[in-house]
Amino acid sequence: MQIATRTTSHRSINITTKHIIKDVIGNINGTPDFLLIAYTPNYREKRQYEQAISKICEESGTQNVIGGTFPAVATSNDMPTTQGCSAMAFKSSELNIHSSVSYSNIRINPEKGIDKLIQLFKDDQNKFKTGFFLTPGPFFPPDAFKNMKILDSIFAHKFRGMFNMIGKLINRNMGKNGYGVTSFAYKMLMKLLENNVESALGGATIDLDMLSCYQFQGENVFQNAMVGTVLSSDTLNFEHNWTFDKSQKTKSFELSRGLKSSSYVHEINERPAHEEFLELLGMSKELYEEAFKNMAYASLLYLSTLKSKNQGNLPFVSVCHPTLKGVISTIPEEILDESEKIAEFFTQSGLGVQKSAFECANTAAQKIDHPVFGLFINCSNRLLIAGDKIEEENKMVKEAIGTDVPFMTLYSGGEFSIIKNKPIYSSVSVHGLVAGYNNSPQKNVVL
Amino acid sequence: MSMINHERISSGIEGLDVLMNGGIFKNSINSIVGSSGTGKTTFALAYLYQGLLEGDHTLYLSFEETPSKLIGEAESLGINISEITKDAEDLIHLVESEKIVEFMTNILPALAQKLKHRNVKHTRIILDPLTPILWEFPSEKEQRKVLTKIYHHLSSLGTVLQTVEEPNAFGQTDIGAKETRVPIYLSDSVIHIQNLGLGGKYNRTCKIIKSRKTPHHEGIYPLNFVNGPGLVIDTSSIQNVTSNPVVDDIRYQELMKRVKELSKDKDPKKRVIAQIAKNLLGERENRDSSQNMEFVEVLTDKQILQGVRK
Amino acid sequence: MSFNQGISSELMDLSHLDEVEAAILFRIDGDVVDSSFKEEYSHNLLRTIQWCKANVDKVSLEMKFNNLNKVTYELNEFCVIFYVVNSILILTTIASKNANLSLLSIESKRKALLISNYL
Repeated sequence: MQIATRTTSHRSINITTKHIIKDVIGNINGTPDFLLIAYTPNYREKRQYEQAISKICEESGTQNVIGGTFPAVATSNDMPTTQGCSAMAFKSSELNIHSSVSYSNIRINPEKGIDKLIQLFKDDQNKFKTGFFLTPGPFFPPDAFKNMKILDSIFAHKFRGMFNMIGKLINRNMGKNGYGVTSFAYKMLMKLLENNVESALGGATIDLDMLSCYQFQGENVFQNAMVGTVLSSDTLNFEHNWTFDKSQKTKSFELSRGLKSSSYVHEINERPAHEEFLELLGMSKELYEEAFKNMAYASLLYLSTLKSKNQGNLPFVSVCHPTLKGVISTIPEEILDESEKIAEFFTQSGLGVQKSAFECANTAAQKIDHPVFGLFINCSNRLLIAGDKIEEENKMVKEAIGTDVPFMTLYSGGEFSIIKNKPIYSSVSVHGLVAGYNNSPQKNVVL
Repeated sequence: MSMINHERISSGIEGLDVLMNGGIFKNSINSIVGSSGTGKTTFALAYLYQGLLEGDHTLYLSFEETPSKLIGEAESLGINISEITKDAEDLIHLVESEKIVEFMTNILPALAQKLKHRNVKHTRIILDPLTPILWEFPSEKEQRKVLTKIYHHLSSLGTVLQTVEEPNAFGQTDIGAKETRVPIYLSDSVIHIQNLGLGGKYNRTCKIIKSRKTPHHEGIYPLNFVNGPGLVIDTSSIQNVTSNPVVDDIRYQELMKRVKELSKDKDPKKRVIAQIAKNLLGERENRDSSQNMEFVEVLTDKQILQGVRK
Repeated sequence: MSFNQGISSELMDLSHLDEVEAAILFRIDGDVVDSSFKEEYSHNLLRTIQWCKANVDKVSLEMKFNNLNKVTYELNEFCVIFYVVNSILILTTIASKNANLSLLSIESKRKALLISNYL
């Protein structure tokens, strides 16, 4: 099995792409079976990414490419970067990586989109298989809330009975334009489960400035699509895991009234959600407005969790905006039911973030005798918490899965997994997949 | 320090006159302070060139470089002194180091007196650099004594521009160093130039750190070597803001002074006139600048003023 | 790539980031080794650069005494990150005051390490 990986950094996407072609594609003997490419969003223009991906396809000789844009990318053999590209190339007779699929407008029709991936699972007869997919992430351009404000301030207060309908309207309206949070991905996970998919790993592309995020499949560059593939093998096991920093729990609060259809929380502790949320955080409204009035999207980086049947604690973040009276949570509507209402705040620390990344990789790697590669989807909020300590985190993951085992980490805008038939949809967390042999020491990894 | 005349002259350095609100005062002492290679001598040469263009009498005293070297340096930057005068090198007088003390204590004061008696028109005097003179008088007390005397003579003759070397130790300059303290203290205006070593527009900078009896622009401005004018201070960042042309206008300041005097006068009529003028001037912020300018012009017009007096 | 070109290129990478206005490699005594700026001139940036130059020796000393790798200042309309490259060089990144310091510090650290590899 040949796996090559590299992270490269340069102000010009052309130079970055050249490095990837030389050091990743060039390190594979023959045509790679599959390429995972992740660029940072600072190159901005769609055309730039199209040219880069086209060049990669041309030079590698394969169209089986997926990828996207992430605020930071990292691989086992290089320092993480916020201005560059990470890539991983595979060539193996033992690992089958299906021809990648894509579906645009995924926010509007997530179930229909994931059908394409389900078909790949159905077509595969291998013993072990897992899905890997990327979606658009939270996206709120500066005018995103304009229409929402009218719906929120007039209809939501005058016609209380219409909450759910308004929520749906808001969601649909934003989804059409490609705006919104990633809660649609939960529908994808549920559909995968319905079709007996046992394991999958997904992540959302994101630009922390909320200006542009792209997904790649073959030579195509999309702005609002799901791209994915299925990895399968008869000899290689896929071990999944997820975790978040649970070390510091602080206050708890009640989600008194929420719009189930839109994850729009209207009241917290029976008070207007926005107001109460800021009070719980000990932040004055004036300070909040001053800090965020010019931003369409602002997550307060305060991780909250809600108990859920499937995954225990469900971590989510809340999106406040000075123009809104409620709070948009990242909880998928299907989970936000009437029975569980008490949520808790978890304070995140740089050390906690590092430890939880290690724990995620280590627990998965422990279940594999000889890890061959790893893929990690790590929340970009955790990236912001860790800052320049992210390099330490990368080293710790390396330590956990083996110093000679290649891996790639994408800092995402949403993390999703199916682990042992359970859907895991979470925020501010790390999801990982470690692939390898059990009791069969055969690997030939090109680093 | 000196007897400042309120007339202004152009420095010859593009942009500096903007920063100093119309140029440097006649009969003032002006210091250019900077470390080696910042452009002090070019500053002095541009000032000399401007004097020649305006038909001023010039007296360039060099304490380091030979006239031919200085003229060559000026020409290399496009300051074509020899185009204006045939005997360019005669404009610059090299004072040898062993004669500095004698020159400063006896010759220069006598020369200044002589020129003054001859009623020589306005003279641009350049001392480049002043630093060797300071070395000859190590104590600050002595420096103060000598310089006060010299400045007294020279400022009555014309407008002085002197360059002062700023110590540069391991990349860090020190404007407050012992070597610069006395000339800065005694000067009417001090212009600090620095070479940050960054290249491009952020390489050389200029800042007015002192300007007696006149408001000046605070802040640091890029200073560039340009073939032709020699040195250019980029004031584009303030051009739009500068200004309140009225407040910056010297006539406005004069007028305000006069109004102040009138408001204290015993004659109640004059106090009323002062009050009217004050009220009118107080509203200037609400008018646009062209109206303000017009207003000042009207109020400073001699005939109108005579009418008002009557 | 030569030593000088390499350092220049790393600094240019930094100054190309959206929120970064300037990247300057200082010797700890204040001398500039190399620098890169956004194309358009900013007067306020000049003031901040001058502040950096005037204070880099003091900052370096503090960093050395207290064993600090990174120091961040907020002044005028900018934030300034000083990152230790080695015992004699400091990488200074000047960014707009709304810049995301976490993201910026990742890249500053990366560049400081890459620059130290050239030396």
